[in-house]
Amino acid sequence: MSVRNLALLPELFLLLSTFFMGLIAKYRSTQTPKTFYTFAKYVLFLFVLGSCFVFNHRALHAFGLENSYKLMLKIFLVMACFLVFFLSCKWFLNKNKSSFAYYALSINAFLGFDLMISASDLLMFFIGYVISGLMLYFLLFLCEEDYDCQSAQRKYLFFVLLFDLIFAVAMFFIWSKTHSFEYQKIQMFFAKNAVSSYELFAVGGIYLALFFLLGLVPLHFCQAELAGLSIMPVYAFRILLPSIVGFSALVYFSVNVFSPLADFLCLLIQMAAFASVLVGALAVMYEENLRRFFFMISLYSLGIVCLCLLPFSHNGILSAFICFLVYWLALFACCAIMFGIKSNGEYLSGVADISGIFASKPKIAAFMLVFIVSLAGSPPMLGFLGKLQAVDHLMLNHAYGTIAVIMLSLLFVLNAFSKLLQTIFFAEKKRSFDRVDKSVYLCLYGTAVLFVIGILNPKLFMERLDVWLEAVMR
Amino acid sequence: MLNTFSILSLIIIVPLMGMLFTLLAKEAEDGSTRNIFNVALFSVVANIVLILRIFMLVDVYKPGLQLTETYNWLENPDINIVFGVDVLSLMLILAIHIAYIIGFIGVRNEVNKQKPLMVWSLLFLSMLNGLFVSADIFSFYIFFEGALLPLFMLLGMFGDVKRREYINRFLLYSMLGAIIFFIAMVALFNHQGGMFELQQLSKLKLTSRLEYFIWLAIFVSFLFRIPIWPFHYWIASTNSSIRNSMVFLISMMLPLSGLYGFVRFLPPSLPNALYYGVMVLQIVAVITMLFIALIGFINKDRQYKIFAYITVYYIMYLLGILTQNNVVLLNIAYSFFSFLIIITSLEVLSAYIAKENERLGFFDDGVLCGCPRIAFIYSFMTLAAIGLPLSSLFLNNFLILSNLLAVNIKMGMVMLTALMIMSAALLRELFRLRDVEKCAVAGHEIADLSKGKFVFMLFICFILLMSFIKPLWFVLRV
Repeated sequence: MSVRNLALLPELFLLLSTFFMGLIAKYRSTQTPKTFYTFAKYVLFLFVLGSCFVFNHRALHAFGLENSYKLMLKIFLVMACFLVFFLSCKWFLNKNKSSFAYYALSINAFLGFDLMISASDLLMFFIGYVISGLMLYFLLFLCEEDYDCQSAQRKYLFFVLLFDLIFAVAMFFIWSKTHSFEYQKIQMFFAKNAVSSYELFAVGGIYLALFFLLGLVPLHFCQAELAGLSIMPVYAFRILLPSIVGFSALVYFSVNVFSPLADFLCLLIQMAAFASVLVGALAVMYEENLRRFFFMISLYSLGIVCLCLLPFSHNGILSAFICFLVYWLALFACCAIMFGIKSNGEYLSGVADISGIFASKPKIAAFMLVFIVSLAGSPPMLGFLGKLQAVDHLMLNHAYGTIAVIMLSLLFVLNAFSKLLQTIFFAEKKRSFDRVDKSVYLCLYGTAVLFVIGILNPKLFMERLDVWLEAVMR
Repeated sequence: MLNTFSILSLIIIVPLMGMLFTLLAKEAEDGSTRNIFNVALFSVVANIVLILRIFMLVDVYKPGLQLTETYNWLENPDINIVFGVDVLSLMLILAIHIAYIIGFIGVRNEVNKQKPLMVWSLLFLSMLNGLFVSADIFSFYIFFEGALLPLFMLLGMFGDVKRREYINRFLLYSMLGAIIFFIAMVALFNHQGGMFELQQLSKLKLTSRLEYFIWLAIFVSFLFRIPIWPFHYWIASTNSSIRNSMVFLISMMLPLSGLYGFVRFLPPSLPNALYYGVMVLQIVAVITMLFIALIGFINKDRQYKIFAYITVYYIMYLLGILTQNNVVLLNIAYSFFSFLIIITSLEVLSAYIAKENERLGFFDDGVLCGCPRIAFIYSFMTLAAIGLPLSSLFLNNFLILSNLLAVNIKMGMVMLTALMIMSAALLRELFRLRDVEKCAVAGHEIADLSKGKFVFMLFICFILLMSFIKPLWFVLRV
């Protein structure tokens, strides 16, 4: 059998995993949350092995050839997924709940993300988008017991279906003009022909769907609501993974598919990004729920990352990716910390709940400080590198207004961070906190080491980034 | 010969290492924090040894930065970190370290939150050291902003918990200044196509619009750190709530970063963009100075008097720096050395007296009658503070003031008035503390300094006296 026929192996592993997980859930007599974590871990491992084995062989035309960009994103995605699974396992163990649904749905959502990254045509991307959207919706059924999640779930389903529909209509409209779903042909069509307003609408629809995946303004509201309602593993999965795929797709589409419409795309992204920066920065000041707090920070940071992208120049994309990496790492660490904050077995989510945590959990408080300062982009933490890259790029493009908006919103964000830090360090302790799991510390120490290396020698990370991003560099 | 390549980095790294070891140090079973204290103190003393070694390696009479070290931090964009020192920065670094030791000894017996106090203090020290050895705009910014985090934590932990909004205000004010500086730095970086050393700053050819923006941004960002109207808001509100002498001192060192920024960034000839700005600044500065001196005189709180004294002196140094005279700058460095040691000693003794009074329920009047050791040291420091020939403040302040009077007689007169008011305030306070009549009436006594602490404070007095004889008396030429 030729390797070409085996090229779907990685996706096959993911697809079959649900079936096998179902068998385990039904027939295995002794099963703990760790059983499914172990299984999911091996599936991810097999996926990586399979991807290496069939590297640069495509089974379907729609997958396109591998390139360094796709490879980098896949590695990133697998690592992110593994880390979230790793942290989530302890949550299910502590709660003594079955983790079958979570791991099965997450692996399927991961399949959707993988298809979106691997795709070289819109149809395959759409399939991935639909799968991941639905799986993210099903994950919402695992919500906190104290809350009534039904209305939020319904609202989310409505938007998932709405954006699936918008994407589908836009995609078929583009197909009716180009007679192909292929990225390359779409790009050639837009480069050669004058673009009508309908076509702009269609492209705008696709971008709106991407904004929804990223949770950017004006499509952030139901995501924000869900952030407060989801259980911790679902929250971490939803906030950390879709952003990687959404952002990479945004870059890839803007540079390689719809590049002839750059002006229009710039305007579209700029509006969403500006609104996200402002809404994120303003909303975070009044946020009392820790999970929504970091969702708003994510919104703010993604807004900055998107602003950095414009106008899709070499330097802009490089800056945006550095910003994104730094923000993502800090956000991941904050999620890990949230996995470690519990009292009497209950995972705490209110800002007021963690008041005075420094007194009994100084390490957790210290880590929170390090990563919050990083998110604020303040030296000597790594976040400063992202801020430097962003402002440097914007300055090069004479985007002085954008810099002013970012810096003004940074003050709002700092105000929110200051209040959070005061609650953690200076407020009176109101409750006792449980022992923090080792997995949390492992993730935090790992991230901290990356941060220290990044601060002392950023060249180590950035030297090869140009090569990895070659496919999206102009 | 010693490899000088890493010696400047070492004085940043040693407090950081000290901070890490302090974090790891454990309290004794009886709750004693002696271990933590010793580790922190040792790292400061070790750094002093290094600083003295640097003094031996540099030519203190040679202008310009010496012992420069360069590290390539990033290639795209190309950013180098350059360190270098001159006699001014070395004097400031040494003064801060001595002040730290006095401050540490002042809080030695405080068991409550000893570890965070030492950890954040050492981080702050490391950042300040970094700031003073920075020879390029990028590293200057890193340490300029980096110093805010430890101070924020110290103010939050040791300030008045009921006045949290002040901490918030402090952070936002200071960060606003840092953000403005950051934008100016990136603008300069883009204009030049790379980072550059501070010494080259005055040689840059900028367009008139850029020149206005850059200079105003840089100077406003420094002013945010200095207790001067209208940027003083955070300083007055936060300092009034601090009841820990070490934290008070550290918070009073932050304005130094702004002053040092003026020293390093002010070009030899004033750019057009700054001409009117500096004029306005001088007027505002002397008015603020007089105003604060008067409040300091009226206010009964001893800590506020010390705060007012420090503020008045900082403004005087600022006005001295604005004269752009190298002789004045050198005198400021010498004067500052004594100034920092004096205010630290005063604050530590004052905090000790306040604490003892609070414990025993006494008033300040005549409280020093029964404790000759404190009385001697307090009197020495007060007399040195008002400019008697007991420290380098005497001669160097004379030179600074005479220069300022020569530049602008009106400004100089207002400044002299403010200094006299402040001196009167300190003397009145000393008289109140040593009032024999009140002492006889009240008949109270607080515990005097221990023999060890007294000997140490005598040694500090000796250092001050020697600085009066020759400011660089401790420099042994290699």
